Amino acid sequence: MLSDHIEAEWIKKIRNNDSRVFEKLVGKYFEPLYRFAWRYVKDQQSAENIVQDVFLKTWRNRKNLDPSLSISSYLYRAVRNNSLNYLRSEKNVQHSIDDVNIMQFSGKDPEEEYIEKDRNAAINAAINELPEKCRIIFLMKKYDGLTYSEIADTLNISQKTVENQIGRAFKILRKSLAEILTIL
Amino acid sequence: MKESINWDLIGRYMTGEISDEDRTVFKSWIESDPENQKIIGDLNEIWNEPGIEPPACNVDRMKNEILVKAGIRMENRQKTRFLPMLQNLRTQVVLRYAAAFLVFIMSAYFAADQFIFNGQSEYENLNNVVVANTLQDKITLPDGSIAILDAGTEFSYPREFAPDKREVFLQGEAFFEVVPGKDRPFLVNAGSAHIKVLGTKFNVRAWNITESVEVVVSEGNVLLRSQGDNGDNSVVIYKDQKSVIKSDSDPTVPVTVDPEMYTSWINNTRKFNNTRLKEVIDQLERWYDLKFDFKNKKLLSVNITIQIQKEEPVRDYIDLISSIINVKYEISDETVTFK
Repeated sequence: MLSDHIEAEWIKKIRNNDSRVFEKLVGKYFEPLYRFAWRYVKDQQSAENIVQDVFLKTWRNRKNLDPSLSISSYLYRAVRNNSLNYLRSEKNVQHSIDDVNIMQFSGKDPEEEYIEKDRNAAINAAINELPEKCRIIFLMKKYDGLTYSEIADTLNISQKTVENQIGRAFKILRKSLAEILTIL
Repeated sequence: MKESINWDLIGRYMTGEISDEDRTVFKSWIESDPENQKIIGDLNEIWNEPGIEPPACNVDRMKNEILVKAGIRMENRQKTRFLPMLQNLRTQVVLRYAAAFLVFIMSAYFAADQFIFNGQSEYENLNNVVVANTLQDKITLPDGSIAILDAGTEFSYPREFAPDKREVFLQGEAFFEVVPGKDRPFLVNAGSAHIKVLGTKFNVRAWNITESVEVVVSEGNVLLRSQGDNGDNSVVIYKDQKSVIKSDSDPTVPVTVDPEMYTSWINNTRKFNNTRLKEVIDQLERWYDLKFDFKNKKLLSVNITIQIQKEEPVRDYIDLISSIINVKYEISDETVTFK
């Protein structure tokens, strides 16, 4: 992620109509935001649209951007909100309306997956079985590369909570995968 | 018998969020028991395991779509009637450092784009300029003519002028020095005004399509008409004269003025003679990059006489205005609020 100082500079320039810097912002964040949205909506087109809309809104409201706030948290939060809204409005029975099922997994438990000799599936299934909040935070750290502080901002929780949940995730994962990993 | 494990600390280590002091603590923990090393080994395997990847997206294509929809980048379009200004010209901005001025000029994006106005003319390689607040810019046009632009102005001109005319587009304020060219009239589209020149120096003030457009000539003469007019109601403005177009109405009969009053902004001075406070405030906003907020909107219609110079601190002018209209103000962030 950009250092705070550079980010604040970018925001000031974008506020001042600098569309070349805005383009840099899009180039930097589009793919990570797309992957983030995709975990929610599980559909390429929808994920792309959601991220596009967030960038467009950001440009249209550029006069109101606050350089003292983190732009990445702002973007992730907006994408998350739009993704949840999308899931609500789609009324698709495969999706739930909160963060619960945001990874596409087979739904089997780790041991079954292991029996099928698919280690990758086993590990990912274990991650999928984490308690909801714990899993969301863990995935944001692992796949989106957000800092504790950015995760806290995006989800509107304290950094301490993020820290606790990450620790908890590792503890649980280690326990549920201990036997699988030992045998390999 | 294991000491209790600090999973928060482990979490911080695994995710790279660990501080240097904690790193020392962690190191001693991991060296204290081989079992601890095993734990970290297992966690590393879990942490490095790839997840399920989404289908790859084409970032360049996505970025292009965003820029087009945002009005930053052009695409091939046909317009059946001329729509004022850069609301439809899709302003693009690119940072360019030129002499002492900071301007935003768009160039590279237009390489393959075409632009059609009124179904007649085609423009390839249109340059768009947006002058940032607090600055001024001087543009040399393809024929050698010069346009000086005030802060906040948006201005477009083709990379190469057409053989039969030299056409430019303006929202804001510009002073033009036009090179003579009998066979190629110089045309300025500014909001609802259309200005035709043969070779001259004149000032155009066109800030918003709902407000009026003012044209003042310093040398030579120009032909002014409103955009929709076919020429029946055009006026010729001669040296030291001013004419105004309001909305789509006909230009006013030219009156004699002191052009210095209307061009002093080039030297960063502006005189407002019995002018609506709103205009003064707009100018302060652009020159000093501030926002003004008036709780009592009626104050904006008050006429005041004031001279402002860009190199003076804006606070002096705010105090002066405050005492003229007898209203207190507050400043927070970059907003000046009058009660």
